[in-house]
This record gives sequence, C-alpha cells and structure tokens, in this order.
Amino acid sequence: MCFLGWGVGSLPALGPLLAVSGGIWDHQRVELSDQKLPGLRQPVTVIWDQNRVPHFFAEEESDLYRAQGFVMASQRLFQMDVLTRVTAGRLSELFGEKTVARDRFFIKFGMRESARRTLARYQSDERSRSAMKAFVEGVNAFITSRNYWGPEYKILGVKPELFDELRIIHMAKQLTFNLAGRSYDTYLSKIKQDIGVEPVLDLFPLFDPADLGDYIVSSDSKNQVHVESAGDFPFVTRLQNVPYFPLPGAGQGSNNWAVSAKKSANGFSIFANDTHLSLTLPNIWFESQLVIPEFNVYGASLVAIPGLINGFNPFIAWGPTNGTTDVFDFYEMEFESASSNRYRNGEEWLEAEVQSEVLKIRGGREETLEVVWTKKGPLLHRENELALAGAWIGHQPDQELRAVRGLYQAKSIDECLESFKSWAVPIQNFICADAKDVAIQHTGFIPKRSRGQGRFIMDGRSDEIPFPASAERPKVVRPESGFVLSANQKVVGPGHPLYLGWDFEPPFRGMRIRELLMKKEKHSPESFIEIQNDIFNTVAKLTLPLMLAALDPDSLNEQQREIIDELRSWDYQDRALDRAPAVFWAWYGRLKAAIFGDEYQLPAREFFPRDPRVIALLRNISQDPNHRDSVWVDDKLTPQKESVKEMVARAFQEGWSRLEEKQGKDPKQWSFKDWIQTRLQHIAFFPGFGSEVLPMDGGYQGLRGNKGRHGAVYKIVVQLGEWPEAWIQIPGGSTGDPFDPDYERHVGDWVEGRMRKAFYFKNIEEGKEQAAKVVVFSP
Amino acid sequence: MNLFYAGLILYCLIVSFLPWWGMGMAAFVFGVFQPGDKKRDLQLAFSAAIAHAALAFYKDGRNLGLISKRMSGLFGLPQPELIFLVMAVLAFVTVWLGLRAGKIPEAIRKSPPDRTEH
Repeated sequence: MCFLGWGVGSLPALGPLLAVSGGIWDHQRVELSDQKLPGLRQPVTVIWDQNRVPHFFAEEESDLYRAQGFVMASQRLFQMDVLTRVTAGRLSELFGEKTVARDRFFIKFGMRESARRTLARYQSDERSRSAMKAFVEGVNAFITSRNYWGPEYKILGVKPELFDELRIIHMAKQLTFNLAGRSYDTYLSKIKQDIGVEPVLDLFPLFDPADLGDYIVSSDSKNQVHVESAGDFPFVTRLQNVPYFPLPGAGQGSNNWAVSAKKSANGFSIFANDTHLSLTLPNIWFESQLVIPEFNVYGASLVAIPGLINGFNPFIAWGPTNGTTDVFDFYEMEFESASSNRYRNGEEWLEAEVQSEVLKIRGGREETLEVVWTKKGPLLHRENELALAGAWIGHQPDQELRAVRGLYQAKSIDECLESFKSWAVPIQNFICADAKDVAIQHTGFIPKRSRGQGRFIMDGRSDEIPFPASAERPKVVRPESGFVLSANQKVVGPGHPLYLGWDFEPPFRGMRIRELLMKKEKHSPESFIEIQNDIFNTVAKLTLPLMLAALDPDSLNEQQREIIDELRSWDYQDRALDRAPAVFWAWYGRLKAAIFGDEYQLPAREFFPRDPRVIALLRNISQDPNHRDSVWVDDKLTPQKESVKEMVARAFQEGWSRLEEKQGKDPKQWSFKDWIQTRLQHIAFFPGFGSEVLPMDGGYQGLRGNKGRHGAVYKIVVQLGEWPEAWIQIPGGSTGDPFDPDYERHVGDWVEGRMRKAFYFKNIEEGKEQAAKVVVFSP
Repeated sequence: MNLFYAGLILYCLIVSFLPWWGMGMAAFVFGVFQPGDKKRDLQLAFSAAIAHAALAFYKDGRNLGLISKRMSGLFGLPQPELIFLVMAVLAFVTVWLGLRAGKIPEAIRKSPPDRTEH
C-alpha cells in the first residue's frame, strides 16, 4: 500500500498526487493561443471548427508538420508517448513489472534494430526526412514549453522525455505489428503434433466452402489451384516447448467500399471506410485538415505520425482495410551446439548477429537482452541446439510516408494506385475513388510462397530467404459492377495462382456489404451510412436454425423455452438492449468449445476452426448424422459417442450458465449490451479513465464491427464531386485530456450511429468564417 | 469552535504556500511549539480534513467535476463524491499524526532520568 511520497506497484504516491496545491486538483487544460513556434519559417494558422477539429493552413510543408506536431502533442502527448514505446520495448519504464514480458518479446524480436533500419530507409527520402524532423521538433517545442503535461504523467510521477524520429517509426511498427503480426503457425504445429496433418487441414482449410466464400478479387473458383495434402508438409518440428507469444489475435477488421459514378444517385463516386481497431480513449486517429499551396487534404492522422493516413483531397478519396495476408513465418533453426551462435544455412554454418539491448524497468531494475539475428529472422525461443526464428515482413518496410504523401496531390484513381508503389507494410486493401471511377488494390509487399509454406513451423536449415516478393498486386480497377469492397476477407479465390495464406477474417461482412450494395441500383451517402450501421447477424442466420432444430425443447425449463421461442422469431439484428443476441452468441461460443475443445490442447486460449468451417460442419451433420464431420462432434473425453443433439444441448446449458454468471439469474434482465460490454478503454488502462459500458448495437461479425473492446474507431463517407462532402465519426474528441469535457466528445453520436458533416474548407478565408477558434503560430 | 475556524484558515494558507508534505510538517512543528491535548488536536485535524476536502471540491468544480469522476474510478471508489472523503481522511490522519508526533520531544524532555545503577 502506498501512502505519501512513494507509490507501490501500480499505485501512485498519494501525497504529491492528491495535494490540493500542486497536485492533480490543480490540473490545467491546454489552451492554445497565438504564440511563437521556434523553427517556423512563416506563420501557420490553425482553425478549430465547430466539431473541435483543427485545420492547419501553412505556406510551407515543413511548417505544416511542425505545427501539426505541436498541436498533436498538446492534445495527445501521453498517448503518443505510450504507443511509441510498445514496439520499442519501453513500456516498463512507465508501468513497471507488469509490462516486462511484452517488452522482452518486442526487444528479442528485434524491433529496435528494425526501427533503426526503417528510419534510415525513410530518411533516404528527403521529403519524408524533412517532415519527420519538423514534426518531432514541433512535439518537442510543446514538451519544453510546459512543466505540467497532463494527469497521467502526474499519476505516474514521471516527466515526458523529448521525442525523436525513432518514435514515429515505432508508432508505425506498433500499428504494423497489430495489423500484420498475426500468425497461428506455432498453434497449428502444436495441433499437428496432437492430431496429425490431415485433421489440421480439414479443420483449418485454405478456402471456405464455395457458397460461403467472398473474395475481394473474384477469380475462377472451379479450377482450384491450391489443393493441400499431408505430403506437402513433411517437416516435423523437434521443438517441444514453444511458448505463446503476445501476437495479435483474429477478429481485427475494417470495411471499405465505393461505388462509381454509374451507381451513384448524383453521378459522382461515393466512398466509405471504417477502420476497426482497439476501442480506446483517446482515439488512435487524430482528425484534421492540412493545407499548403500544393495540396488540401482532410482525414485522419495516426497519432505520433506526421501527415494524414486516410482521407480525401478535392479529387480523390482513399482508405484501407487490413490485408490480413500471412506475412509472419516461423522456422526451426539448428545451431552447432547449445551454446553456439553458428547456425546451419544450407551447406554452411553462419554466425548469427548478436546485439545487446537494455530493458529498463520502473524502479531502477535493468535487464540486458541478447537479440540474435539469423537470415530467417530474429530468434524468439531456444531449446539447446534448436531455436525458433520469426520471419516477419514488417521488418522490411519501404517508403510508406512517401506513398501517403503522393496521395495528397493525386487527381485520379490511376495516380492514387501509382502512389502506393512505395507502400510495403502493413499490407492493406486500399480503395481509391475519384469522381467517376473506383478501384481496390491489395497493396504492399506480397510474399511469393509455394505450397506448404507458411502453415506450420518450417525447416530453417535451408538457405532459402523468407518472403521473396511477388510483383503482383491483386486489384480491381473500374469494375463493370460499379463497386468495389473489402472486409478483411480472402483476397483471391481458389482459382487464383497467388497463395496468400489461409487465415483471413470470415467472409460475412463482405457478403453483407455486397448484398446491400447490389440491393439498390443507385446509392447515396445516406444509404452508405445505413450500410455502416447495419447490425444484421449473418452467423446467426446461417447457424441458429440448425442449432434450434437440433435442440430438444423437453430438456429445457420454462424460462429457457421462453427464450428459445424468442430466438425462433428473432430477426437476426444484434440490438444492444435485446437478450436474443446475447443468448445466441453465448450458445454459439459454447457450441464451438463443446465440439472442438476436446480435440487438442491449447492452454493459452481457445483456438477453434473459423466460423465458415463450423457452419459447414453443422450443415453437414444436420443433413447426414454419419457425415465424416461427426468425428469432431464426439467428445473424446467421454467413453460414449455424443451426437450433435447432445452437444447442442450441452452448449446451450453452458451458455446459459455463462449468462447467469455474467448477468444474474433473472433472464429478463439479460441484454446483449451487458454480454458484449462495449467500452472505450483508456490507452494505458487506467481504471475510470475510459468510458462506461455503452449501449452499442451490432455484434462480432456484423458491419458495425462491434466486438466489445474492438470496433469502428473511424468512420467516413465521402461524396466526391466538384467539391467533396464528407461525413465522419470518431469516438472521442481531439483532446486526450481525461479531465476535459471534450475527451468523450462524439462518443454518444458514435454509439447511435450518427455521422457528422466534416468542415472541408476550400481556403483559409472560408475557414475563418466558420471558425470556433483561430490560433496563429508565428516564427 | 474558534480553534476549528482558525484551523481552517491556517490550513488553507499552509497548503497554498507549502508543498504537499507541508501540512504534516506544519502540524508537527505546531505540535512541538504549541503542544495541546487530544481534544484540541482532534479539532485541528478535523478542520484540516474539512478544508482539504473543500479545497479539492472547489477545484474539482472548476473542472466540471471531471477530476473526481476519473480519480474515483482510478481508486476503485463506487461514487465520485467518495474521493473527497478520501481527501478528508488523508488530511485528518496527516495532521493528527503530525500534531501527536510534535508532542514526542516534550514527552522525552519530561521523562524521568534513568536511575538504574549498574
């Protein structure tokens, strides 16, 4: 327990914190006013509109980023500080022991060296170098101009250190890892050890059943190019104790779609995008408009990165969804001996490159870690003379800042696609829309793989280099249908020669967007917003009738029968205040666990086949109880053979118990809201610094992307035309100050699905006319 | 009662000009030079508690109640208002301990000499 001057563990020191003079009660919000900003060449005007969004007007590009750095730091410094420490392995300097394991992982994974190499690459482009330098100097001008930087620093009892360009790189690394750091190769290898190759290929197939497949780029699905067999995977790893790494899980997703002029009610293309990321306060996105004589762009910046990532200019709009292509492979490496750093690489033994990095921990403790690089990647685990190396494309970026900068001045979808030539990571499905046409491209460093690669831990003794690049970028340009879309589903179908991996997000969001786009001949921004707010539960539509048919009502009590009646008449809308979606998701979740929980042992988390495979299994069994899938239904931990009816009933009772545990014994009080518990958490998980539980409609596989801790943190609809109009929603205000009333700004509208019109000013005069506040930074 | 009001004023002055540890130190010094009985010390500690909570409440009001809302969440308190109780208890305990500790030098001075013969 702490009391006065010293904090203990995660608890702050109460004395200095709660002092009424000089403590937290003396908190002062940042109020920017006209001031000098060192390093500026010419004045920069920042206009805050009625939505409290800053618009930057400058004469020179470096001045623009300098002012952006200053203003962003004034609003979001703590968030920038925390997020740029993640992949640097420096969280423990702020938070102590509880983040040490995570820091250790990122350091051992070579993220520090990776960032240094990336910085050197970025700085080889003069424009990127200058932008980063000006931005960092702007951030530091804010830090040095104050002696109070917000409540989080006060609570932690630390001061912010000055930024450098590596922080920008680490922010990009953090997002890249979050989006492209997913891999289940080690999981599948363990399962393969438990049940063999063929069952793994059966449970985790490359492609979904034909009627459940939705691909971003359509291809001939009759002619299957990629058919796997056990013979493709002869290598069996000798590693026995591979630990679980803190890799991002499945379920991350985004949506984007666009219609061209011919499918738009007013004759100009319309574009929509919602990025689904962790629900945090403050939001990871920072909305703004950036204007210099060469360009005028509006959209969302990532905190701690100069410029904008997503948005629009007078001619085009662009925005991504995560590509989800597998870019993370694992290799078993063989060393000369348990203590040697010489590893086999084809016919020769090579010396691994060993670096020392220091992990500092709050309180003064330090650890020195060895980072061991091989040609396959850094070592993540070692067992005597064997080791596990992780090959990750995120270590090999190109010139992403330059790619985005090109978009600011692009005037057509062709110029838009051209800009992405220097974009390597993370792989994204970028949509480009100009006034007439639309296009989508799977953008980035696409690995060229052969069959059998990237599924399990691979043999690292060969001298092959991981991830040779493919020149191909699957894309759809000016489609006949008049629309393009993506929702993290598989990029290409089984007839396409490119092998991109097996583990994409289920196709349900993509299927639903396609259905809604085709339903109307012409679309408008209003119909796009309706699509964004769609809460239809496709998983329930496909599985619930099968589950209900298999459930014996006689095994239920009266309360349960009442709910089953409710489920029978449910319209598959995931409404926050209804209980039907809560019962469905609880039941369905337990059904997966009941069917697959006995097949293999994975203590770290429940890792089950993806929903399309589960749906196929339920269909197969319902049509033929003796289908070969019945082998999965049987609970191998019991002597008798279970039928699907028994498993469905067991899952229902288990789901019911879960609901009782979570929401109490009275089913009348149950709601989906209390099941999914949507809330925006504080960026450093400070209790009380996030939002309450929000009554947000929409469920796990729905278009609203509501997954409780994860959701559509940035939503935009752009109507292109003579001058674009945009509707946007970002939960949380520009400010990241938890004691500011604007901290939770727009959260209520976001929950309700309301969008607000963006102020996209043609020039500074128009901005001043509609300004809520104007601040001029002078040299 | 006068002591209570005097305590309030004194406390406000002290916390306005001294760092966070000033109230404990001031109570100790006061206890050394103006040793009093328990009843007086309780009155002073109580006035410090009221003043501490009131000042926090005032400053929280200037911030639209957001500091108490967030900080109570941070400390796991079920109601934001309870943070002011925490403030009061902190001041009470600190001043009370300070005043009582201030009596220790006098008690040592007055204690009879050790007459044990070796």
